[in-house]
Order: sequence, then structure tokens, then C-alpha cells
Amino acid sequence: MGYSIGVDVGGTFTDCVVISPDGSIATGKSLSIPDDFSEGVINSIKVAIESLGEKPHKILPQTDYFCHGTTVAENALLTRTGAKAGLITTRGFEDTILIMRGKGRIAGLGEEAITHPVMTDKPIPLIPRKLIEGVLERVDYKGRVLTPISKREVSTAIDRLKKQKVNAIAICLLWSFKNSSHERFVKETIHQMDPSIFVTTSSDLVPVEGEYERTATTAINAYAGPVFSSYLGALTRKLRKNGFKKQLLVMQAYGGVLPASVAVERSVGVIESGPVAGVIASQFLASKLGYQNVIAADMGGTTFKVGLIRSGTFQYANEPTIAQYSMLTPRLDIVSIGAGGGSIASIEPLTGTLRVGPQSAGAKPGPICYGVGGEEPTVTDADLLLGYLNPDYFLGGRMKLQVQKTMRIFEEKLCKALKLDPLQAAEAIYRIANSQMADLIRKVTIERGEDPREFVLFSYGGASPVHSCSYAPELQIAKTIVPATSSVYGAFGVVTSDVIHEYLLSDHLTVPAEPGRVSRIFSDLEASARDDLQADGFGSKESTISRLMEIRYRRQVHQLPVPVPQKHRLNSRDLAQVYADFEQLYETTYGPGTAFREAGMEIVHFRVRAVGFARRPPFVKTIGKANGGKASASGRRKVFSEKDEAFVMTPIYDLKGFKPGNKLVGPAVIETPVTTVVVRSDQSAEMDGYRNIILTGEEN
Amino acid sequence: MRLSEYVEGIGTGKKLRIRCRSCRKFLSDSRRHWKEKVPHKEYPLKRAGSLMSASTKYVLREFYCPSCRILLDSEVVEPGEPFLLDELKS
Amino acid sequence: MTEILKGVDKVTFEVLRHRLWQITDEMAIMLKRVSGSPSTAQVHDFMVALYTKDGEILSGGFGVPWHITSASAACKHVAKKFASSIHEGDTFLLNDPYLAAIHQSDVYLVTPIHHMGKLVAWCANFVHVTDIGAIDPGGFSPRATSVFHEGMRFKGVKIVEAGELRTDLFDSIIGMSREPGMVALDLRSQIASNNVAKTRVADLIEKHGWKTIRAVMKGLIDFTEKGFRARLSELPDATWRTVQHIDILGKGYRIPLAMTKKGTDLLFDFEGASPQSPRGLNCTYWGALGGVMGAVFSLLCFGFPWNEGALRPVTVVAPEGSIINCRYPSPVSISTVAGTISAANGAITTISKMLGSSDKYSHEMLAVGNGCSCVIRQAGINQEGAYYVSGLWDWLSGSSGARSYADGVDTSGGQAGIMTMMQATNIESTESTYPLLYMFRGQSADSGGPGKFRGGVSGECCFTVYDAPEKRIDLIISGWGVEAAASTGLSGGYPGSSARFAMYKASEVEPLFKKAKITTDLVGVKAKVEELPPQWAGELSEGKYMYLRWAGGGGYGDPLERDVELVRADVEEELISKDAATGIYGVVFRDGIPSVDKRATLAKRKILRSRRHGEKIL
Ligand SMILES: [Zn+2]
Repeated sequence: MGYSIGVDVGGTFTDCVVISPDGSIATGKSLSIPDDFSEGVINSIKVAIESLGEKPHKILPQTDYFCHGTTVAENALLTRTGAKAGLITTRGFEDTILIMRGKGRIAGLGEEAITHPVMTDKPIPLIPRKLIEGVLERVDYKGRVLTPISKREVSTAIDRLKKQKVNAIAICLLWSFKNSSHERFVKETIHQMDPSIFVTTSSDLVPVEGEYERTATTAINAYAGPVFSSYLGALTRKLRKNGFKKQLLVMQAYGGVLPASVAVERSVGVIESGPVAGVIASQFLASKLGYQNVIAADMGGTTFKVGLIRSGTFQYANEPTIAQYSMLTPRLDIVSIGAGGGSIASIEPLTGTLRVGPQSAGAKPGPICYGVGGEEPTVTDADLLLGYLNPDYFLGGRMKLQVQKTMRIFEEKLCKALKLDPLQAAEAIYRIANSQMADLIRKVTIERGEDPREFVLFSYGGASPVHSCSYAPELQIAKTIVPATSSVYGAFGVVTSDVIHEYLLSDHLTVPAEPGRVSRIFSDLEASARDDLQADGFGSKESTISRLMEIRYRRQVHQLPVPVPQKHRLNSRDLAQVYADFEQLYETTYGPGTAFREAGMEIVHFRVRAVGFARRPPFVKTIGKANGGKASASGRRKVFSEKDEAFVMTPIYDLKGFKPGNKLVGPAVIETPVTTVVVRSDQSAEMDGYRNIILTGEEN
Repeated sequence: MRLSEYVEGIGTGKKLRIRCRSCRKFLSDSRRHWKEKVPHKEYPLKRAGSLMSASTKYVLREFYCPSCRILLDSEVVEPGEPFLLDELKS
Repeated sequence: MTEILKGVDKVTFEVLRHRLWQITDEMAIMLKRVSGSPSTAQVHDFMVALYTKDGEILSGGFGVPWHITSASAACKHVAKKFASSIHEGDTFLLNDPYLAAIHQSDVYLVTPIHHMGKLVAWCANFVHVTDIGAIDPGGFSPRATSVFHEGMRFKGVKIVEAGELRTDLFDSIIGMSREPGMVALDLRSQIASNNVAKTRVADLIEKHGWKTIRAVMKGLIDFTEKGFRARLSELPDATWRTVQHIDILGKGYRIPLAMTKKGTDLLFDFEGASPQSPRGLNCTYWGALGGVMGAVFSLLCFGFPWNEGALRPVTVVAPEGSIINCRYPSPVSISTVAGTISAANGAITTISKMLGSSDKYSHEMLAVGNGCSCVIRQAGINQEGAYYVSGLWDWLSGSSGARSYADGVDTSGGQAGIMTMMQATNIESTESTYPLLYMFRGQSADSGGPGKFRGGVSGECCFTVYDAPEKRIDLIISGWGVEAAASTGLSGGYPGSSARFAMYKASEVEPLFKKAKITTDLVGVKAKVEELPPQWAGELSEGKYMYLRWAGGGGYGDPLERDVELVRADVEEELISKDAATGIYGVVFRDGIPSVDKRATLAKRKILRSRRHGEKIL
């Protein structure tokens, strides 16, 4: 087995993890280069490989796995620098993507937007009306052709788009998921007329009912496609030049990686895959540590993000949105609020009460204490004043944090109104931010019928472990884990991701369905799945294929996936069991009495998932000699203690001095160049065999 | 003092005078509402667009600045119905 | 100002403010999850809220804002009526519009919240239930001439007693509906939603103590009131007027509104409103109050929690026996989308006029959007051979009125332009569930009211029956706004387009659908077209095509002041026609391409302006 490399391209930094054949891990960090993200990727690899005393052109030829996550596609979307894309759709329904079902004005937005409607707007169209062409054709709800498509119509539409110099075309026709022949015809015609145009059809990408969401998904895919494709091309060339021979793998928002050759057709799937990597890293670590239920909490500069792992598996989002567009591609359920390190604290003029967020100072101008122009009090500033952050050891001492200036601005902007001193104001900010994070976790768990007390919290990303010591006990979460790899957690998640291919067929079948037909559908899907796994180099022992049917009650909108036995020939008894499982799952998910049985059931989707297992690092436990021994403090300073509601002299530990098995009892602060872990006086901390820090409450 | 997009008041109480915000032409003083002093005209609703009702039960009533001819206000009313008069309490 | 938070820790206040919104959010999610009906889960025709123990609004959540105030009336009624027989674990059902609910289809479930055996708060919600056994399927009853034709009506019954569902009552209620199964789901989702709220509020009291929670509740309401009043004090004292019209069956109803602001108080006076209608367009006082408060919350209370504090400065006067405050037993089943929307339209307009008299607030102005009802209900035998009753929600793609700095949002969701949470369903989901086939659904060019800033465009659609075992279904239309222009403009801006309901005969439309171009307004169709009255119950049978266009948004300012480039872009994006660009906006194009002839445009605008002289009254 060779090397595995994972790279996570973020907005500011590009992180790299290199796993050697012996399981040892090297990491690298470099600045992201928005003009040419592939350059930043290569730089980060260099940094990591050079830390091993090696050179990229030596290591890359021995690399089996190169997985990476990228923000290229979402960057193109958010800055509206994607392709000049056109859309071909069914005549009479050209405006579907503009109407957005009337929901685009607030989709994905929160309380502020809903309670201030005058200020809300739809997104600027990705594809303007003049680049939308309706062609005469019609298929009905059963997939029967009512009006055949005509070559002349289609050619004229393509001509008109070509005249306007489009370089990408999205095709989404009504009911194409029931009968894709018309979409295929349009696609072939485009290929014949101009093979250079990037084409994406809705029946290939998301063959799912719901023409608005399907069109939006297809349109975004076409819009981001060309940019993404040229990025992948550039990166592949650079890697090849350094001797890399295998397939480049790309992180997907549904929590797996895909070979670049497949991913290039599905740019929409990589959008917002960044936070997903953290959830995957948590799943991997949790499986090593033996945890089934995990809350993965990531606190960044502008947002706080939460994802759930339940019984070891990911949860998928119900109605995902990207930039107010509703999406159909499966995405991990990650929920966020504007409560990050850069969230701004301000005074509500009427009540004189303190508010935190949702406005953020972000990385620029940033918190006051960074001294790079920030003039508004932020959560990070509060963390500094409370003694949690070490002004001389931020980013390993590379950035001196400005305490005096922070105090002065707190005094000016907050203290007079609040009649508090700066430290009390900081404490208030800390409490409010923590309560917002607790609210989000409560919402994410309870909304999904989960009890947060049955979960372990994984706390990562910058300042996250400064706050989790406070909100975890509030939610009665007994154990918090600060992962050892948290500084390059995204890259770590990427490299531990499985290759996951999803196959889907929409064919509404009324229950009871004919078993022969169901068997045939699954056989066909599985044939493609096996081919793809083989092409990716996975044997049957390194991969698995599973089947699901999504079923719903007619006249109700919720559909649920139910596992289907892996039999070549299903019989009616097998299917009867599947229906029974669905009925039970429906009631467990939505509660007793929630099924409208009288209307009958229908099968909506057939899904096959092919998973090629990532060759994960052997991950050796490095139990230290000082097993159970005490860690020794490197210093002491005054730190705010929530329990005592006062500043108390607190021992400070440097993570470098920590060995597996070392324990300490709070209050304490553990410092690393990138993360600070706060341990409250009612908590204790221990380093486990993998160098993760585990916080537990007093009673444990 | 701004009263609407195109109308503003100068002075208060008995000394209040109303003028056009576009050309500054004085439209009226406190004794008379400005709508009663400026030109107005009633049109079929269709004036507002081809998809508008062809009914004659309602009209589109327009008020103009006598000087710059800007459209100061419009009303959808029954023909001949009294003007909709907004009144400052000062 | 800090005295409003006497005795409350400010940080706790902020923590709890956030928490209360989350609780209503959870209530909404529970409704959507449990019901799973398109109307609740996809269209969002519901409301959730929390109330104090006296029934004052504590936290109005996600959903149709008209109902926040009337569910408060429901809590107050139940509190008074049941007094000592209110126990922990009870839930009450009420849908009498003369007591609280706006119309019978919006069924309220009201649940007391107790702490240590004492009543401390209420939670309430409504969903628009599928059918309530009225004369017409689906609850909106154009044929009803009395409240007795409009289906079941409850003045408050204990549907859940001490935690136990009263199955005798439950079965009786759903048995009165044509769709017992769907109504059972609706009611169960409502019970589940209130249960969530009850648990969460109880947990909150457990954690922070009743004394703190009580102080925070009071503080939140005071906060909104102070904030709202402070905003009002920045605006001039004046009376602003508008008139709205409801037109049906050849009859017009006037709903004038005079809004007077004095100091920090607002009076909405509907004096002069037409006498009540023999049809269910009327609303009771609760409908008028709800309509006004929907506008007050949305346009004046941004940034504050939506609670009783918003109500305190407001008085609503509606003459008894009028369409805006009808007498028992007048029919009211269409009130939410008739009397109530009109009240909201009027309030949106007068509030916007008030905001327009301030440099600080003029950017908060909003003209009326999607101002009249285009409600259509359908019933019949579906492609599976089963009887069904349901709605068609295309018109909830909506349209918004223009703003003082920008165009209205096109097809923006909801009614009146402020109910952003309501939305349409997909055509594929409609066609797979009901025996219908759509010819088209699109935005409607020229539907946005012209102005310096254009009203948002609305849309139109056309459908027929398809795969219907009986080759027909019933359609019930409860609309208006065909003769009048409901979405009125501001500052001279023209109104948005009228609504239109029409039935086309097959032989003419069919070839068009199959061969030729379907243009957006069926222009050039030589079909026999029957313009339908907006209140209509009849059948859609094979060979007939139902056409619907809902109302566009009102415009803002003088159309001749509109930026020429914006007019050009509108033509290019098919949001206005070239005819309108030239005839209304005075923008002239060179032949063929949408390139503006600047000189001809200047000349055209000059001519149009010069025609502006009227009959001067002296
Ligand atoms: Zn003038």
C-alpha cells in the first residue's frame, strides 16, 4: 500500500494531510489562491511532504489515493463568475426556474428575513430569461409521450443559444425522470452541433420528481460545470507532472468522494462539501473510538455548524438550498447559524440589551484583537478578555493579540450602555454566544427526534473548544472530544472518505408492485454500480452495494428510504416485508397516527449505493508511558471561571507537553498553536491513545 | 418635509405650503388640499396595462404637477368618487 | 428605556428571546412533519404562536400572520369560557369565525401550558384543513349564503382531555368531512405541534424559574411596544387614506380605510365600508383586525419580536354589518382571502404612505402585491379511482408590490406581497396526485403595475382534466379582482394586473398545444372562450381548459421616470411587452432588437408628458 493524500481547499487556507504507508501522518498548510486554486493545492502538498524530508515528485508516484475537497464550484456560484449557461426546457414552462415556486425569496433564510419581507429578494437569476429556450414536447406523469420532440425545434433552440455564445447548456424537461428520451435527444443534438458545449441533463443528474428543484439543480450544475472542469484539468496536469498516476478523487456534499472523471459531470455535488469533510472525519474517529451517536460541531469565523451522526451513519438534509435555490442532490444535513468567532456584539438601542451576531467581522476586518482593522467587539475578543485565549500564543505566537485596544473599544461601545465593566461585557457575550450554539444543537437534535444526551460532542474548528465546555453541559452532553487532527480536520476527513456512487431511478409504482419489475430495475442499477466500482479499482471485498426504495403514502409529501434485500429475484413476500418496514419507519419517524393509509402507498425512487472503502490509515494507538499520569502545567494566568463567576488563577498546559493517558482536572486551559481547549472547574480532561482530548463532566 | 415621493410640505400649520419635489413648484397652501388644485384626469383601468380589467366600474385617476407634469399620485376609484385626501395634523 | 427589563438579567433576556422563536419554529416543523399534506408541508397554510396566560400574544411564529391576533382571541375565549375546568393536558378545538377564527377551514387548536399545576401560558396553531363538510368541497364556499352552509363550526371543545384524545369527538369531527383521513392527519399534526410547545415552555420554566420567565415575557412585550412606539414617534401625525374594492357577480364592494397616526398611536378606521355581502366574502371583526395586524407586523415591527406589544398602539374600527365586520349569521368562508386581504391591502397602503413621509423610513414602503383571491379547489375521482378534495396553489407563486428603491419581487410567494412563507406546488407533484394536465405555467408579462419601480409580475397557468376516470372533476373558484385592480400602487405607481378566470373549448386549444406555439396569454386562439365569474362552482371536463392569471404587484412612482435601461431589460426578460414599454414607459426601440432609440425615447416621453393635463377643479 502506498501513500494517501487528502487536501481541503478552504476560503483562506489549503490544508493537506499525507498518510505514509506505515500510518504516520504529516500535515501541511498554505494560503489558498483564488485565481488558481490548483496552485494552492500543490503548495500545501509540498509543505506536508517536505515536512517528511521528501519531495513531491518522489512521493506522488507512490500515492494510491489523492482525495480533495474544493470550494471552486461554490466560489463560481457565489461570485456569479460561472459559465454563460443556457437552459432548454418544455415549452410553456420556461419560467419555472424564475418563479422558484414562489419560495426563492426566503428559502434557506431565517427569522430576520421572514419578519422583514420588504427587504427580501430572489437571487439574481443564474440563467437569464433570454437564455431559456422552450421546445415543444410533452410527456405525461406516467412517462407516456403526448407530444413528440422535433429535430427542427431543438436545432433552432440550440442555434439561438449558440448565437448568444453560451458555453454550457442545462436540459430539464417535464417528467424526464419518467422518460428521459427527449432529454437524451436534446443532448445528442447539442453534441452533434457543438461538442465543445458543456451539457447536463436533469435525468442523468437528478432523476427525481419536482420540476423546479430539478431545474435549479441542473442549472447550477451547468453554471458551475465549465469552471470546475477546467480546474480539475489544471490540477490533474500538475499532479501528473509530479508523477501521480492514479485517479484524482473529489469530495461530494453527500459525504463520499467520486473519481474526477465522474465528478466533473456533477459540479453541483461538490458545492458546500467543505463542512462535510469535518463530519466525515468525526464519523471515522467515532468509529475508531466506539461511538455511535455524534454531534459534530464546527465553529469558524462567521458561522457555527452542526452535523449529526446517528447509529454511525450520516443524516441527509431534507430541503437543502444553495444560495436560495432548492436542490435535489443529496447533501449531508449540516445546519449553521451566524455565531462564529467573528460574530459582532452590539447594543439593541431600545432595551439596552446585548446582541451577538448574525453580523460578522469575518477574517477581515476581523475581531478587534487581531489588529487588522476590526473596530467592533466580537466573540473572539470576548474570549481573549476572559483569559481563554493567550495573546502571546495565538497561531503559535505569530499574531500578537491586542488586549488594550480590545478593552478600550469594549469600554466605548458596550460598557456604558450595559453599565458593566469590559470583563463583565465579555462574559455576557460568551454566555449569549454559547446559548445560541446550544439552541442550534437542541434544534438540530430534537427536531429530528433525537435526545442530545445520547450523543458525544466532537468540537473542532478554531475557537470551538473554548465554548463547548460551556454549552455541552447545558445540553447535558456528557463527553466532548477535541480531535487531535483538528487543525487540518477537513483534509483528514477528505482522506478518510469512502468512494460513494449513487444510482437512482424514478418510477412511480403503486403498491403492491410487480416483483419482476422491481428486480429488473435493481439488477440494471447494480450492473452499472459494479462496473464503476471495478473501474475505480475496488474488488468485491473492498466494496459494498446496497439497495433502497423510497416509498410514500399517496397524497402525503414525505417519502422515506427503506432497505431492500440483496436478492437477484425478489418475490412478493420480500416486497411485503419492505412495505411493512416502510409503515413502521413512517410511524417511528413522524409519530403514531401520522400515516394516511387509506390513500395507499407508492414506490417513488429506486436507489443503489455503491461504496468503495477508503484505505484508511491503520491509526496506531500510541499509549504513552505516563499512562494515567498527570500532565504538567506550563504556566498560570487569570481566567474567567463560569462556575465561580469570577476570574481565578488557572493552570495553562501546552499540548506539546501532553502525553496519551495524561489527565487533568479543571479549571485549566490547554493551548495549541491553532486551538485552545477550556476545561471548566467541574470538568476533567484526558488525552487518549490517539492524542484526542476528551472532556468529561464531574459526575463521570 | 417629505410627504411622498413627489410631494413635500414647507412650513407648518397655517403657513404650510405644498410643493412638487421634482420641480419645486408650489402646488397649494393650507387652505386647500393640493389634489384639489392640480390637474387630474380619470382613465379606463386599461391605461395601466393590457392585462388590466376592461370594466368601466373603476377608473385610474391621475394627478399631475402643473409645471413639470410628473405623476404626483394615482388612485383606483369609482368614477367621480371624492379624492383620497391625506391630511397632515399639525 | 431600561426600566422595561426591570428585574430581568439582560443576558437571560437575550437568551430567552432567541429560545422562544426556536420553540415556534419547532411547532411549525412538527406540523409539517406529522401532517405531510401538501397544504401544510409545501404550501405553508398554517400558523403557530405562543400566548401569555391571559391570551396576550407572546411570540408569533412562522406562518400566515393574519391569524396571530385571532388565535389570541381564541385563547382568551377558551380561558374565559372554560375557566376552572382547564386542566393540564387539555387541548381545545375552535373554528367559529364569530368568536375568533377567521374562517371555518382554519381550525384552531389551543393548549394551556401549566407549571406546578398553575396555568402559565398558551400555545396555539391552525392548519387549513382539507374539508369541513360545507356546501362546496374544500371549505371555500361560493354558493353559501349563510354561515349554516359553510360546514362544521365549533365554539371550543375539549378535543384532548387530560392527555387523552377524545376519540368520540374526534371521530364525529372527521366524520363531518368529505376527507376524514386527511382531516385526521391535520388534527393530529396540530396536537403534536402544541405538545412540543408545551414541553419546551415547561422545560424553560423548569430551568430559569417562573419568576424569571414571567419577567422576560413581560419584558419582550414591553420591548416591542416601546420599539414600535419609538418608530411611530419619528413619523408625522396625519391621516392617510386608501380605498380597496372587492368585485364579484357584477357587484362591487368598497372598503375605504383612513389611518390616523397621532403621537405613538395608530387608528385604522374602515368607516364607509359597503354593507355585508350575501356571499362569504365578508369577514368578522377578527378578520379585519388580523388583516391590519398582518401589515403592522410585517411593515412596522421588523427587528422586534411579533407579540402583544405591536397590538397595543393599534385600534381597528370596522362598522358593524359591513363586509369588513359582518353580522351573524352572514357567510364568511372566503373571508381570509377577501375581507381580510382587503383589510391587509388597505393597511399596507396607508402604512406605506406614512413611511413615505419620512426620509428615514421611505425605503420600507411596499405597494400591494397579489392583492386578490384566486383560490381554486378541486374535487372528484382521481386516477386511482378514489374520491378526493384538494386545492390548487399556483396563485401562491404570488407577486409583490414595488418598493421606493426597487421593483417588487416577481412571483414572490404568498398573498398581499407580505406573506413570503406561502408557496406553490410543483406541476409534477400536482399531475402525479390529481387527474390534471398543465398546458403551461409561467410569469405573466405586463402583470406588474407600471411605475418608476415596477410591481412584481404575477403568473398564469392553464390545465385540463387528464386520466380522470369520470372524465371530469368539480372546480370551485372563490376569487375576485377581475373587474377591480386589487394590487394598488404608491406615489403615482399604477396598480398590478387584474385576475382572470376563463374556460377554453378544446377543439381550438388542442392543436395549439400539440403543434403550434403556446403563447403566454393564448393570444390568437380562435377558441370559444368563456370568461368565468370569479365566484364559480362547476365542472372541468375533457376538452375544456381552465385558464387562470393571478394579480400582479402594484407599482411605485411615475412610469415615465423609470430608468430606460430597466425598461429595456424588462423587455428582454419578457417581463413587459414592447407595447407597454413604448405606450406606458415611453421607451422606443429600434426595429428588431431590444436596443433603445434614445432620441426617440426622449421625444416620446415628452409627448406623453405633454398629454398630462386634466380637468382642473377650482
Ligand atoms: Zn413639478
